[in-house]
Amino acid sequence: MSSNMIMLKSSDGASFEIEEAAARKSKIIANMIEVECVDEDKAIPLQNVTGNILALVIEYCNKHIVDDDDDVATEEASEEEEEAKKKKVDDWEAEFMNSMSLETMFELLLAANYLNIKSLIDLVCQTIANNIKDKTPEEVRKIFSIENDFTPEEEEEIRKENAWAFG
Amino acid sequence: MASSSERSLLPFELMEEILWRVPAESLTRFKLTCKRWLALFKDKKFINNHLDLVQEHFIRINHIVQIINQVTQAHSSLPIPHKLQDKINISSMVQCDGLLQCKLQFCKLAIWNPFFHSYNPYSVND
Repeated sequence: MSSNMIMLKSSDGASFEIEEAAARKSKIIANMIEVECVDEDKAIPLQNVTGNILALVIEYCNKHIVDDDDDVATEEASEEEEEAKKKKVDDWEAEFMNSMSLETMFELLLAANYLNIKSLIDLVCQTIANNIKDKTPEEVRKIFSIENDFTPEEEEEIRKENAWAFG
Repeated sequence: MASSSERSLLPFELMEEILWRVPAESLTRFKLTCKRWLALFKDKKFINNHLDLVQEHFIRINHIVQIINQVTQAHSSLPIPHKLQDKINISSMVQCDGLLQCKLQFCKLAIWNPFFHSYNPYSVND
């Protein structure tokens, strides 16, 4: 049985064909399909997502539909099989995020948030967290475009209270 | 590729979701980022979300303290705080959410947070 395909259109006009089951990873798209009876020939416009980011989102969704579809079968799967499968997904996700720049991660996070794809939000947040955990406050400010609003005295006070952390 | 000055700005809720997943030791350093972050790290809701997501750690104490992340195998060693040295009986320690309650002499107790290097003594007979 072939599954339904739907079309998504990015903010910069690129069109993508995707299986409905994969697109439903996005709560927003799932909602649109249910409420608005998406027309088969008409692409769903996604105003806030550019083509290069949408391509990544679709890659992620395509990968995860297969894994999630097996829910019924997994009840009988042994613990080892289960573990092997999880390891495969983890490896894929690590590879998927591996070469991405912080800039792309930010855009992917915004897209995942807009499209409401919980597992992708989790994955990108965790990757960014791992990426920044060893940075200095100055580096973190730059990454998030945050302005330092402490006076030198306040800054000194916090440094003194937490001297061990700044060693 | 865009330079850092063109990087898309994340709404605060998403920054917060990222920070839930940053280890406690790093958060201490990030207190210096800005006032809003400093206030966030003291917020009860933030602390609870952080505790829910933080990876499990193993704390080993003998003459030093070792905090071991079981997933990544990363570990850090720190000395036992000066004020606690020779006073604590490790076998009577109680731990909850990464905090250790230590029994001292004369009905005195202390709450020790090895992650934040903080130590608060209190008395039980008040």
